[in-house]
Amino acid sequence: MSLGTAQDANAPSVAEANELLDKIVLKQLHLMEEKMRCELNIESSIKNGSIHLAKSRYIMGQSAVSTARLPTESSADFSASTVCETVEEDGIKQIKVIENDAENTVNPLRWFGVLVPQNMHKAQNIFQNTINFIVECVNVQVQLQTNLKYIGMLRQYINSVN
Amino acid sequence: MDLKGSLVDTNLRIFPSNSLLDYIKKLPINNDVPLNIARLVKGKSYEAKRKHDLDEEAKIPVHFNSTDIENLNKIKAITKIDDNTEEVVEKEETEVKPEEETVTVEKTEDKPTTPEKSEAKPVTPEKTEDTSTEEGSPSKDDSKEQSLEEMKIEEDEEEDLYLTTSDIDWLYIYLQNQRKKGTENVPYLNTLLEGSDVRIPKNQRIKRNPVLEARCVKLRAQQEAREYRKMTKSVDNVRLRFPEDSISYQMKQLNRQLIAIGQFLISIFAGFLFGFRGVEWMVGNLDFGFRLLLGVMCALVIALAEIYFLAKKLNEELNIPETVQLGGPPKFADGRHNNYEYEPRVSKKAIDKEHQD
Repeated sequence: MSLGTAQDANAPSVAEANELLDKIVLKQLHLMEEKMRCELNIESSIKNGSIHLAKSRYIMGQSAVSTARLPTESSADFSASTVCETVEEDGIKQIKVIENDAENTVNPLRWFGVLVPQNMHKAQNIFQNTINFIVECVNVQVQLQTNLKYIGMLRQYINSVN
Repeated sequence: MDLKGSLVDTNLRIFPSNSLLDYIKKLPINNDVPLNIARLVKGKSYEAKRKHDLDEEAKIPVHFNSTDIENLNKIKAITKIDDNTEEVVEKEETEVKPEEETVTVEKTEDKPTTPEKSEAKPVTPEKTEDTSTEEGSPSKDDSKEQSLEEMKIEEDEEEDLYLTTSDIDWLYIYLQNQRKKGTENVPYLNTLLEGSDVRIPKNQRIKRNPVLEARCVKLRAQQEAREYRKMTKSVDNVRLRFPEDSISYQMKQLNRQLIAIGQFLISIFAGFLFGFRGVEWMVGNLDFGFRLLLGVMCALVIALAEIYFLAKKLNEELNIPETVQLGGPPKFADGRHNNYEYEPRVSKKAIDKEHQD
């Protein structure tokens, strides 16, 4: 069990590495389930938002709410109203949503008219909420990937020590 | 054209490898062992008599403590001096590895589907307590199996026993305890899990209702026929002058426009009256000239608004729905409903709609 001391006095033993690996594997399983739950959240909220969008399309008519109303390449530039930023906590990279306070943001509802139905507002809110779910999902994914890296690394370590 | 239902339960299914199975078989089975593990050992029909839920054990999250992180960093330093270059290689390597993690990566793209429910529900000790449900459950499964027979081989896999994450949690804690007690040769969880198959639960596939399908085909055919008739109107001698030249059409058109103009005049007049008399009644005696001015102002404002609606109304054309046969070519019509049964109903509906508008 104390083979690890050959390399470095400080180096963790195989037992420690193995325990660590156990923990990471277990965590990986939990993260996978969490990711699935996140995806379920995303799915349901996108579904809800789409239904509201469809309702407003029914109210306003097909041509009033369609892709033709979206800005094209030739229209004026605007900046994103929500941006993400990467922060590092405990050595884990996480993505956070922040509101962009740049001046030239636009309200997408304006593309469809000044007086848009209530459903459109609801759809907008739901979609904005979905961003949070997506970011949550991405964070889990990032953790999954780092864990993967750790698993490979620990395996290598254990093999090399043995 | 099948739809995918959303996921019902998000538990992973871990199909144990032989080495894990061998180890589990050596475990002493008592009432503290999770149901799934016990079933793996004792066979599918095993029912535990546990009273308390597993939850409090299962819910303990695994957290790294500071020594763990320290060790991790040390190992990182030892194994990878050049972090960046190796990182890429590592990642690719692990991505190819036929292990549980690769499944997650693929998962979002394709979720193949199978029925969600299976008889080996993870941890449900309450259910096992009375024997009547126990008797009832196999037959229920059988009927379900029959109904979903087309679901290929996956059905068989469904029948297999699997572990859930909470079982693995339990195993981890169990191994930890064994080690603390000083038992020799306690295997590590990661070596046990090696080679095990981890599967993602699959979406339910929802069959499209054949009645709906038939209806869609019919409606589409009708729509196409309508468009075709509109398109060929100018070349068909019979229909060329049909609605526009008839007296009733002309009279209706005239009526509509007269009514619209009448409404316009009435509202302007009412606006004028309000300014001319109404304000005086409300406020008291006013000068004649001022009253006239008020009336004209009110009328003007109302006229402005009304002109918009008048223009809209006069602009639109009276369209009389066709009363002749609609409906697709005979090949679209299915045997049960023949075309002539529903057509009059459809065209009547169209007329009703016209009036509502």
